[in-house]
Amino acid sequence: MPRLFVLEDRLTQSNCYLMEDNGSVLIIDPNDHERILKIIREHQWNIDYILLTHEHCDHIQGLNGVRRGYPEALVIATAVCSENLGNRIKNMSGMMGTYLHFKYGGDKKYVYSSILCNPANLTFDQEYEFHWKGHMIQMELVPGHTMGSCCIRMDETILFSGDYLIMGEEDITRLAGGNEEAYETYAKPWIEALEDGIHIYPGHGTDYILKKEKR
Amino acid sequence: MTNLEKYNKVFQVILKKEGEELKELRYRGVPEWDSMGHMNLVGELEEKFDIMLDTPDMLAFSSYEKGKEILKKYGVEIEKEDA
Repeated sequence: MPRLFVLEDRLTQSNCYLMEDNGSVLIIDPNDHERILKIIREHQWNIDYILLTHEHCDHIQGLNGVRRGYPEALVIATAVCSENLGNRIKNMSGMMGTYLHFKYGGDKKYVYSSILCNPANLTFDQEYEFHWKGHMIQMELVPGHTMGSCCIRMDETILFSGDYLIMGEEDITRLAGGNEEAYETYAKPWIEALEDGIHIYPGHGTDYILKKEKR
Repeated sequence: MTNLEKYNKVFQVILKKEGEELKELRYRGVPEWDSMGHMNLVGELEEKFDIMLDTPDMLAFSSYEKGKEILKKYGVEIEKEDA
């Protein structure tokens, strides 16, 4: 199995997942390029892939920095996610400072710069799968949280769920790009059909093993 | 479409409120205008009027009427409503 590292962003508390296998790295949701690059460079690893679960800025805020350091890394996302990477309203970066103010309360003002990213190198509409280091990686469009949201499975046993299935939280459809109807029609049944025992690595919070009583 | 019509339309779309209800709208005054509703409201106004609000203005945007004052700072004049 590849080694899995979790980098939680101090400000937005988003999770970046970094998987390493024999010096090759696959990144999911790059959130802090300085920390990511520090680890990669210290170990002299190389980045093969950067996968995005959705376009919200807390999940892509390190994308430009990582791409600058490793321009050969292939960025894969849904077509909708890719299209919204360069839109400060759709990716929420234009209002993240305000969002954090509301989220954390108090008088502190949060400075958060707009983020504009280039599109992904490879996009898909419904699903995309590939092999990496002997592992099957499956990316599947799961619209609702945003219309470009996807979940990423590895070997049918691990699920990187983005902003779905966050422990102790309801799935949110009211942020930029969210769609309640799409959630009810597509995401909710998709989530309900997930098999017990799958290891969930969400975009925020701790990982856990999915059990029916937890849903 | 006038700026007032565009402005009202944003509130109608995001907060599902219309007509006389609009003038009374305040942040947290209705369930729809919570922190997430606020994000969507700001985003939609920025998109429709092609402006970028500074964070202090986003935070000061506390009511339907206050929003008109804030937009004026960005060169968007919302026409007075007919009496």
